[in-house]
Amino acid sequence: MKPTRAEPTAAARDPDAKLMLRAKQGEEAAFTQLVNSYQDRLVGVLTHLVQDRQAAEDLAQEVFLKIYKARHGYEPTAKFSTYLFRIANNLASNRRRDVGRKREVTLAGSDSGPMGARPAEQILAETSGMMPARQFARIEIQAVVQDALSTLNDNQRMAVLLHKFEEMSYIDIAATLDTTVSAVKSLLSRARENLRVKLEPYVTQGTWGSQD
Amino acid sequence: MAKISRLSGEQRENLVAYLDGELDEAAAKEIEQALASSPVARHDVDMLSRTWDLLGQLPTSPAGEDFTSRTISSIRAAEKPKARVDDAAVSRAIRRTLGLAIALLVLLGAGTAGFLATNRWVPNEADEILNDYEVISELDKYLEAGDIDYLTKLQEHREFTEHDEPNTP
Repeated sequence: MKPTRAEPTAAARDPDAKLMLRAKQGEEAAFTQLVNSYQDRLVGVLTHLVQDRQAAEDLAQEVFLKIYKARHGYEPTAKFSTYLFRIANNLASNRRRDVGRKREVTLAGSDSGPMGARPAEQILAETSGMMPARQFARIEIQAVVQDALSTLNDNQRMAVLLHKFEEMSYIDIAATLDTTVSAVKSLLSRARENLRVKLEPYVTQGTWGSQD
Repeated sequence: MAKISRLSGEQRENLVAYLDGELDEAAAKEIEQALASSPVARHDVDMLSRTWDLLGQLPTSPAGEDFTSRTISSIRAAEKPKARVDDAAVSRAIRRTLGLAIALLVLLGAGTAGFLATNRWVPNEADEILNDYEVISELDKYLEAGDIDYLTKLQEHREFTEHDEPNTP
């Protein structure tokens, strides 16, 4: 197993950490550059995490605002991306808690039955008659994958998203989720096993997942 | 799960780390040996890999075109007005406190002046009684005496004057 902590020297060499240090000194353009660099990555990960595009954008804005407000205390102890996604994960967790509390109060929304959100199969059944087969196939697999992703717990999902889309190492994921590398290894192992169980039928029966 | 029962729990956990290139050399070698001797483990690794690739099918969700400008604007709005609001709030609070203090002082002054004025120039019933106390306390005697001539005559007699002197009003 690799070392459990990112070295501070590596963090200090991170160009984005340098930009953040410039923002700390009052250079707004440096922060604008950071927002520009990370906006798509952050919104992308958050969209998969909260499964709501608009909420993901709002959350991303909140992340940048929080980072900017905390700029005076910023120290480059980790890569900037790790720092940013750690804050994003914390804010997303808070939001999930808030949404969970609201759901406890406001039961049975118009699209949700007693079992919660509608399953991907139901949505697909409703839309299948409206589009060409090829497009439908793509949307179907997206829905199935999204559905499989939603069965993971919060930490598993975040670890999967960071590893898949941010190509983060286990060390960086551990720093982001404030846990150990060993815990990340277990998280990802269980998450990928869950995904395998959910998605294997689609891989073996359909054409998806064949080697590109 | 039965499919990979030939692998130990640790090896099963290491399969994913192996695929992710996160194992050290010795652990990776151990997994490679297990894979070489187990078609079931090879199948599982293949499925883990192919199902993982499916995540790449998820739609990308880039930020809106004006995301950066909106974000920077909201940051400016959250930062700068806060300072202005703070200054304005402080000066408003000072003005309000001063105003209140002045109003209180005026009220207190007016109250004191009013009290003194009414106390000094507007006599009340109690003051009148106190002023006339000496007369009132001897009123029975005055009524008995009748008029001033009778008292004058009475005074001319020495024997009455000497005894009554201490009680003379």
